[in-house]
Amino acid sequence: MNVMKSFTLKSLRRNKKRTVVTIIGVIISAAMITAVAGFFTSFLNLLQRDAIESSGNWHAVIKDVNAEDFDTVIYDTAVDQAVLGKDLGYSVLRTSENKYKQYIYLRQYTKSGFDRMSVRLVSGRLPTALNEVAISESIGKSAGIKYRIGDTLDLELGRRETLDGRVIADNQSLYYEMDDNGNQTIGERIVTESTRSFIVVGVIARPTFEYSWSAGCGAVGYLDETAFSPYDAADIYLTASKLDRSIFNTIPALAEKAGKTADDVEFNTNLLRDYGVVENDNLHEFLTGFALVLIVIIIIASVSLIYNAFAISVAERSKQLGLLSSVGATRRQKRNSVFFEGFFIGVIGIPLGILAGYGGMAVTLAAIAPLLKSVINTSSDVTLTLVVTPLSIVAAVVLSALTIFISAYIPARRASRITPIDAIRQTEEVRLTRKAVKTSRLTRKVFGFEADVALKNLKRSRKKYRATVFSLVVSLVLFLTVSTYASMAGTLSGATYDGYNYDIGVTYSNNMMDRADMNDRIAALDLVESHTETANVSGTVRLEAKQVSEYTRRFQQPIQDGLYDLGMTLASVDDDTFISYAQTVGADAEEFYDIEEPRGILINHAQDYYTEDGKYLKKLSGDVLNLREGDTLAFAAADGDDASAKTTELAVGAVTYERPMGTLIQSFYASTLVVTEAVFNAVTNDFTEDQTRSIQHAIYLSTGDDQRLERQLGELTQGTEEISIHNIRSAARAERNISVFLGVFVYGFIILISVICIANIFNTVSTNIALRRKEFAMLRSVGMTPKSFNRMIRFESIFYGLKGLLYGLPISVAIAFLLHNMQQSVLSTPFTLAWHSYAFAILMILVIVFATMLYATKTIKKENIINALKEDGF
Amino acid sequence: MELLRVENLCKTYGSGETAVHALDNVSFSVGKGEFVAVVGSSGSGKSTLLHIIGGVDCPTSGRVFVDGTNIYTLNESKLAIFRRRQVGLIYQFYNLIPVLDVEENITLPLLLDARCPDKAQLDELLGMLGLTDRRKHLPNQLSGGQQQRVSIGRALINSPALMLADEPTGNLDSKSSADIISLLRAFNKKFHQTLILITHDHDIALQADRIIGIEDGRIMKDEVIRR
Repeated sequence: MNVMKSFTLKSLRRNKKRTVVTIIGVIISAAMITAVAGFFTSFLNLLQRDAIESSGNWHAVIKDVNAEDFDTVIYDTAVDQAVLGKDLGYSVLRTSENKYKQYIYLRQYTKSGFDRMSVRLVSGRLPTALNEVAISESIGKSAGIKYRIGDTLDLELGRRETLDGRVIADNQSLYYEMDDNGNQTIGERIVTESTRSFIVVGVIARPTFEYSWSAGCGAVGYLDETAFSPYDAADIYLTASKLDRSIFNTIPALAEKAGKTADDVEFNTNLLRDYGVVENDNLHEFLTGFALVLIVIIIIASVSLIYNAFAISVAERSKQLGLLSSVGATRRQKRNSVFFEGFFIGVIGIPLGILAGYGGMAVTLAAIAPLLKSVINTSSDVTLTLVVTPLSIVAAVVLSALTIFISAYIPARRASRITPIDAIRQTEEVRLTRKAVKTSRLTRKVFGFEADVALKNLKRSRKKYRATVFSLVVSLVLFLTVSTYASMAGTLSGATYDGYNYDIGVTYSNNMMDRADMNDRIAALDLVESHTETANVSGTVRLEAKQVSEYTRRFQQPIQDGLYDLGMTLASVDDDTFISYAQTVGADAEEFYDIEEPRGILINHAQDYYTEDGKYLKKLSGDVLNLREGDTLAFAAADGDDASAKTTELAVGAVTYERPMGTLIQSFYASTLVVTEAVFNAVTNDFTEDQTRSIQHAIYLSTGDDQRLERQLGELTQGTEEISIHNIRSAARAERNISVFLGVFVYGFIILISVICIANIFNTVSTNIALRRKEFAMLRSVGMTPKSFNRMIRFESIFYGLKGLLYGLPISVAIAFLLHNMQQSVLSTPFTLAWHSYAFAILMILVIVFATMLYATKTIKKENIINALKEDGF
Repeated sequence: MELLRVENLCKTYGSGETAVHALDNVSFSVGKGEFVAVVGSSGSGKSTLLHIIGGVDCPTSGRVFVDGTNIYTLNESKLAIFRRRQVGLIYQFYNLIPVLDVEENITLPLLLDARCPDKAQLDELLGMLGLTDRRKHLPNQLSGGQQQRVSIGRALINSPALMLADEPTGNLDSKSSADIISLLRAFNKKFHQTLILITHDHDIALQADRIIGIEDGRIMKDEVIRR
């Protein structure tokens, strides 16, 4: 080791405390970079595994390739792995109890295909012979047919077609026709191609090719790749050897080589998207961008710490470097001694940081994986776990090394310029002027001599403190901005999902044709616990003042003396729901079917959020109307601008706060009248075309597993534009989880950034104290007592913290104000500051600075005065 | 009348075989108003002796009585107050506070006592030190001799009973040296302060009332040259 290096190591060892703190800074910085990179790769990996789970681990399929062309495809350089699959078609399940699942749908795969197509065995075993099958558990669960292992299936397999001979594509749901009497009959048949017998050897989870709406329950069979005759054909599922966008060209080209066309190729877009292989790639770009922004913030914070450490080190060693220079050290040697310091710190810090980063991420992911599940809807057995890739490790090493290099660059240049004369002259002291350290006489009078010296000290090393004050300001601003945002988001989310009494709502637009059929299909899904079919139309009722509650009168103006026009929703629910609803309310359901004297149940409950004099939102709850059982009201359906709309007399059969599923609590200007379908149809019978179009139909569902049901509904209604699905439970949960999820990351991020800032403060403050050892000893030698020494340090800490707050607080308040203005469009609340966060932050800043000072001076206070005075600052 | 008594003072650095005995069983006493020069070669232990007497270093064993008080039985705060009020210590390397100006550096012991300096006394002192027109300067704006005079001013401001000077002229040219020594002598005579001064300079030593010679931590000679 050359003399420069050994000098550097000696100075690192001499300043053990600072070296350790700097290494900790590097560890945290590398850990954070690793964590971000690790999370990024883990998250992408989660998406990939989820896609494999739901659609299989293959990139593309070439359909119906002749046996003689198999080798052309399988041994092509573009292909990595390939399995054969054969689609044997549909066979009728004669005793199916499910009107939408009438078939069994059989596919065969070669041995490795079961794994590649994500076939999950539930019981029994997978087929190993041509006459064996494993059936989907949906045959038992949905179709209600109990096969046992060992049973024989006699299947007449073939293609589906409509009665008039059009081919029905695989996975279409069962095709029904309406006959002249309005009854539904099955509108399709199977054209038998082969008749074969199979032995059931196992039960599998619903295979990837069976959707919840599929007309056929899935079954998989075994395909023997050696037993193909030259005339046979099969589908080839393959993974590409090179996974990038080029596969969109190479695979179709390969299909043509095998005597097929580009139309015979299908890509597993679901999976390819998660590998970033898509024609346009938004998600991937967004994630990458997000990770980069985080990494840049981390690097900025880390550089401010590590730069400071090197700057201090160079300043401290300037005498040493100057002496070395006077005996002939070159600029290069001086510069490299700083880079060597960086290298040494990096070699220790970066590996530890990467370990810490992965460790921390593994723990965090384990903790938040359940939360994340509800936010990004993955298959049930795919969870977010840490994935470590060589690339992410390399990225973390390179970025951390870059951080250290950037930090060391300027100090290294400064070191290279140190001349022998700098070693002799104390440059900083020379520049000191009376004006620079001038303080007000008042300081000494009010706070005492110690405060005055403290203030002078602060003024003296203004430049040295600047970086640390900057760190103080950055951590303060980051912390306060995040907590302000969190508290604002908190007030917002409280109000969003109040009063919903269903889990999933499916609403139809007015041009939806076979609504009743869809309602039946939805209600038949096994995850639906209860359902309510509703129709509603909004209108107005004219009421006298005494019929209107006090609350409503506060919010609504009468249209003329003593007369109010109030909104009313006329809602119908299906008969089953109505009967149980009437029972809950304590009314006799029978009375509500008379269309000559129509009556309904009045939901007379309103709830509103209300601001008064710019104060906080207040929740009000109470009656809308002063109506009793037996009262009548004149309902006028809304009809554009036509004020003279026809009214219908409706009687109030009961008054309640109870709501049937799907009905929301109204605001004070409106109420809801619930009627039977019979009454609703009678009232709406003579509606104009516009009015009829304004009737809204929906089905509301409750379920124990809203996520799976939502997926099933999505699959069931796929492609139907007239249907929209609202998963209220998942939305509410997602909103809650997102805030927890963000909280974990944001606060985790802030805490770690703050630790870096604290390390920075610690380094500068303790170095500053160490450099002033001699001065402190001086003060003590002329009789400064420990008490007044502490007083001085306390004042220095306070002044120092105040300086950080002086810049940090206004910036934070300004950002809080900007955030407040941005969310004004969502909910208008008066501007308030999160006082407790501010108080906490102010306290923390002072405590951190003071604790650091105290720690730094602890050793100095006990030190022998003479030893300190003899110190020559070398 | 006795002001200072040192009894069996020992100071050992390190331990075992590598132990260095900087002071080895030193005892002597000094009367009020006496001017004592301490001489000895480098590393003889004379600075250590001075520091222990001044209350800034601790003896390994032995006792130091100043005005009848054993100063090493005092707690840290009381010891600090002792240093502030009873002792004036002058170092070879001035040890001034860089952020304080001449006046503030001189009045530092008073400021630490939260006392206001007496204007007339301060002016007189500044005049004697020849620093009247430098009173608002910072230490780095002064020459070495001026800085040493500031540190002497600081030692004198409280009119302490005991003045301790550790080679105050070691870094100065002969003209400045002479000025400083005559200044110290003047105070010694005028205010009847006890002055203990370490020096290498034979001529300076000869101006004292008594010379104590130290070698290897022991008093080798102690002679009174004038009474």
